Amino acid sequence: MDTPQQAFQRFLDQQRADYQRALPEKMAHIHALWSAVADGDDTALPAELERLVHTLAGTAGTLGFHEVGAAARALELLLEQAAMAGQLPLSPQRTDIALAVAALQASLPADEPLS
Amino acid sequence: MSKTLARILYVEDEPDIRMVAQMALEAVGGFTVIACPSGSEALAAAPTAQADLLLLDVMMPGMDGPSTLKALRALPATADTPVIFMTAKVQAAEVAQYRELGAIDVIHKPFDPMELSAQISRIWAQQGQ
Repeated sequence: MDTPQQAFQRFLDQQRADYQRALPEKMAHIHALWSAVADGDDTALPAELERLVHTLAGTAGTLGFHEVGAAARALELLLEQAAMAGQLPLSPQRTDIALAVAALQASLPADEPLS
Repeated sequence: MSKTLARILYVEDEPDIRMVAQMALEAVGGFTVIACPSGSEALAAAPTAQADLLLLDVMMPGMDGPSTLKALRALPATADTPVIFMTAKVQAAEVAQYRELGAIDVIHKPFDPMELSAQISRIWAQQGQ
């Protein structure tokens, strides 16, 4: 019979597997939001994008996807800086953010189960 | 005499994090956790939660962690309850700000679920609660 710690470890492994399966969709959502923000489609979108990236940074890291979490945190910082400027990102910032979005997508783990 | 840490009122809006932290605190730490997805739900739960500790995420939509703490401090049940903030923003200035608000410590996000209970127990012991 499992100890509570062993039962929690199994729960955690399942959470990680579920989260790993959901990551591509989360990345696609972030990419789509960034594309809309860059096009200036909706003034509410930057805040939604920042919120989504913030959540990804915290959750991915906690569930053991450290590269994803770090890439999301880097993107979050750039989005925060752009938000503090009070306007849609200017050209140099856009380039940096676009690169950070690409880096985030590149941080997606392979399909192999986590060790 | 030190008070035993048994019951934690935990506020976190992100469902995955909330579930993992609650399970970690209950299964690994043996604590009773009253988990709330928002500051407003925490205010509703607080009067009957009998919480020894408040564990608050900082960045939440609507009422953020500091706002939630301010509101909880106005309730008799949680007027003096020790509080720990959880946040990704752990620059010295930000930590100082959280301590000014009354936090006994700040836990960095992301956190290690297997270590969370031990971390909280250490903070609790160091504070002589």
